[in-house]
Amino acid sequence: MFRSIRWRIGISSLTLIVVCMAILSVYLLNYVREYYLSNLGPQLVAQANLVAALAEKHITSGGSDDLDALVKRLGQQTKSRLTVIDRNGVVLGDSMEDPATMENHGQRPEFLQALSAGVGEGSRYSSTARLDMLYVAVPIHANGDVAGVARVSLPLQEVNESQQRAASTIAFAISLTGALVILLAFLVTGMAVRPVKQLTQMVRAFSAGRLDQRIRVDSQDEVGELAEAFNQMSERLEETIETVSNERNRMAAILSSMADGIIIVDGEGKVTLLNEASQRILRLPRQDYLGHSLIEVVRDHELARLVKDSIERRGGQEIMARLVETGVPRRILRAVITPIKEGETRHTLVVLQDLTELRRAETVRREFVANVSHELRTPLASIKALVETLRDGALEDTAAAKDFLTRMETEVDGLTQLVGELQELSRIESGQVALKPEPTAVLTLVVPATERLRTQAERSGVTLTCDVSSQLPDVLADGVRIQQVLINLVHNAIKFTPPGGQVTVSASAKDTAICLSVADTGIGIPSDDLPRIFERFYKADKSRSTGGTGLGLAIAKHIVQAHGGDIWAESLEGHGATFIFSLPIAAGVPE
Amino acid sequence: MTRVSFEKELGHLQDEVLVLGSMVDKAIDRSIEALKRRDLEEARRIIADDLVINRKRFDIEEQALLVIATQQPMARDLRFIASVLNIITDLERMADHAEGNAKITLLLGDEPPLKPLIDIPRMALKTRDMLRRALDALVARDAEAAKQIAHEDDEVDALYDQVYRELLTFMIQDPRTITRATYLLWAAHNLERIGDRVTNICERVVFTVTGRMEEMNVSTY
Repeated sequence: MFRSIRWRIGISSLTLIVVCMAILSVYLLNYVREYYLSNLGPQLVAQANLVAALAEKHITSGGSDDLDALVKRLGQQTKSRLTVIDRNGVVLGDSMEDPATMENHGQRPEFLQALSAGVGEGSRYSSTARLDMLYVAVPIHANGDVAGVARVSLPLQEVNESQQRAASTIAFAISLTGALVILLAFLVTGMAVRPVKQLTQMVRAFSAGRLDQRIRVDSQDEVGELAEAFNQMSERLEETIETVSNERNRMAAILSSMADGIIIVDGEGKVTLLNEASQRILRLPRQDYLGHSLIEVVRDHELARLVKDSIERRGGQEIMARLVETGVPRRILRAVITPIKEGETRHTLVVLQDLTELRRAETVRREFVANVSHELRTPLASIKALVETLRDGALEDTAAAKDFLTRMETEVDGLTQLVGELQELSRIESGQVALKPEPTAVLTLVVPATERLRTQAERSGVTLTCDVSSQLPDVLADGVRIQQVLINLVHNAIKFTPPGGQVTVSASAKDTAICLSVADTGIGIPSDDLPRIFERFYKADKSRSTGGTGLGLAIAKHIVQAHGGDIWAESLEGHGATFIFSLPIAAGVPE
Repeated sequence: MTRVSFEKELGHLQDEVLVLGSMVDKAIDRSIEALKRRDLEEARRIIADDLVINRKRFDIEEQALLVIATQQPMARDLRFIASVLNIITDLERMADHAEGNAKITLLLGDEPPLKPLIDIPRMALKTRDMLRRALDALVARDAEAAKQIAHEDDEVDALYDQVYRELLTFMIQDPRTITRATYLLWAAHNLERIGDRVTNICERVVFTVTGRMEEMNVSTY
C-alpha cells in the first residue's frame, strides 16, 4: 500500500510540512520567551536598583528588622518577590519568607553574578516558592563598597503560559495543515493516478488479447498525454495485428486449398510446415508433423536425399525438380525443391505434385492407340488374306469367290462400325454431341429398346422381361441416346447369357434419380475386371472373342455421364451380371 | 549437453533406419513391377542397387555400435539400439528377397506370361503396407500396433496359399508351364518371407517398448 504513488507523495509532503513547521515552531516559542524575558529584564533591574537604593541605608545602619519590614512592604507594592542579601549570602530581608528560616544564598548563580558583573540574572525552580522563577540581582553599594545584593524575582508562570498558548496554536496549525496536505495530496495524486490505473488495466487486457480496449482521456496533463499516446499505439497495434493475422489467414487458406503439396524443411532437416495437400498426396494420417524429420514424415529416402542435398549445398539457389515414386500403393510425384533464405535461416521448400492420374491417363491413351491399331489390323489382315486368296485363283471358283466376298463384306462392315463408333466416342467425349435432354417417361425409353431386341433374344433362347412401372416420374433424358445405351446393355446381356437364361430390365426411383438396371443370368464378370469394363477396348474374356468393337460400354458410360448420371456394374462370377445407370428426375415432377 | 546430443544421435539412428526401410520398400515395389512388366533392365538395376542397401546396413550398424560405445545407453535406449541392429538385418534380408524376385524376372526372360499377375502384386502391396506401418510403430514406440501388424501376416500367408494352389493347377494341367510356374512360386515365396521379416521387426518394436521378447506369429511356411 505504501508503495503506491499516492502514499509516497502524501507521506513525503506531510513529512516536509511537519518538519518545516516543527522548526518554525521551535524558533517561534523561543522567540516568544526571549521577547518576554527581554521585556521583563530591564524592568526587574530597575526594581532591583530601587530596592538596592532603599536598602542601602538600612544595611549601613545595621537595622535588619527594619530592612525586612521594608522589603515586605515594597514586595506588596511591586507584587514581586524581593530579597535583600548581605555580602556573605545571609538573607537580611524577604518579601515572602522569614529571613531567619532561609538558607544561605551565597552560592546562588544570580548572587554571584551580581557581585562579579554588577547585574545577575537567572531562572530556575525555586524550592521556596515551588515555581519556576526569574531572578534579577543587583549589588547594594554602601560607602563605595558592596554591602549586599538586592534581588527581584518573578514567577515565570506567565511566560510559560503564553509559550504554551503559542505552542498549542502551532500544534493545531500543524495538524490542520497536515490533514489538508494529506487530503490535497490524495486528491491531486488520485486524479493523476486514475488514468495510470486505467492504463494498467488496459495494458493487461491488451496482453490478454482484447485489442479493442481504449482509455477515456479526461486530463490534459502528462498522464493524459501518455493515455492518448497509448490509445494511438493500441489502435496502430490492433490494425497491425489485424493485417498480420489477415495475411496469415490468407496464407493458411491458400496453403490449405492448394492442390500442390507444400512442405518446408529447416536447416536441421525438420519439417516446419506441411499443408493439407501434402497429407493427401502422401496419404499421411492426420497428426502433428511439425518438428519431425522429413524421412519420418514422408518415408521416402529419395525425396529426403534430394532435400538433404539442397540443404548441404549451402548458398546454392538452384531449383531441382525430380520425379519420385513413393507410397503404398505407388504414386508418382513431381517434387520441386527450392532453397529459401529468410534472413540468416535457410529453409527448403518442397512442392509436391501428384502425377499419378496424369500418368495413368497417358498409359490409357497409349494402350488405346495400341488397341485401335490392333482392332484395325485384325480385320485388315483377314481382308488382305481374302484378297490374296482371290487373286491366287479363288476368283475362278464362283462359289468360293462369293463366300469370300461375303466374308470381306462382314469384315468391312465391322471396320466401318468400329470407325463409326470411334468417331462417335470421340465426339461424345469431347462434348461435340449436343444432347437434347427433355422430360421423358421411363417407359418410352425402355419399351422401344427391348422390343427391338426381342427377336434376337428369342433366337438366342433367352427370356427378355421388362419390369418397369408406369408410375415412375419422368426423367431428363435425350431419348435417342438413352435408348442407344439400353440397347447396348440388353444386347450385351443377351450375348453373354446362355440359352434358357433371363434378361430383366427394371427401374426404380432413388432420391432425385431413376436407376435403370439390366440384369442377366449369364456368365458374369470376374471381380478384378469390374472396374475396368467401361474402359475402351476392354474385354473381360480376351480368349473368347464374342465380337463387338469393345467400345459399346465406353460410349454408354459417356452418354450417361453427359446426362449427369452414373453407370456401374455388379456381378458375381458365374451368377450373372447387373448393369445399372442413373438418370436425373425431371425437375418439378417429383412432387 | 551430452543428453541433448545423445537424443540427437538416437533420432539420427532412427532416421537412418527409416531411410533403409524406404530403400527396401522401393526395392520390393520395383521388383514386383519389373516382374509384372517383364522389365529386364529394371531387374538388373534392382540387383545392382542391392549393393547400396547392403552398404547402408553396415553403415547403420557401425553408427549404432558407435552410439553404444560412446554414450553407454541404458534401458529403453539400449533396447532400441539393440532392436535397430536386428531390424536392419531383417531389412537387408528383405532387400535380398526383392533382389531374388528381380533375378526371377531375368530367369523368366522373354518366355510368354503364364497368366496376368494378380495375387503376387497383392502380396507385395500387403507386405509393403505392413512394413510401412511396422516402421510407424517403431517411430511411435507403439507395441500394440506392432502386435496388430504381426497378426496381419496371416493375410500374406493366405495369399501365398492361393497363389500356390493356382500355380499347382497350371502345372497339373500343362507340364510345359512347370518352369514358369515354379519361378512364380519362388517369387511368391520371397514375398511370404518378406512378410515374416516384417513380423520380426514387430517383435523388435515390442521388445523396445516392453523389454519382453515374444514370438509373435509363427508362419506355417
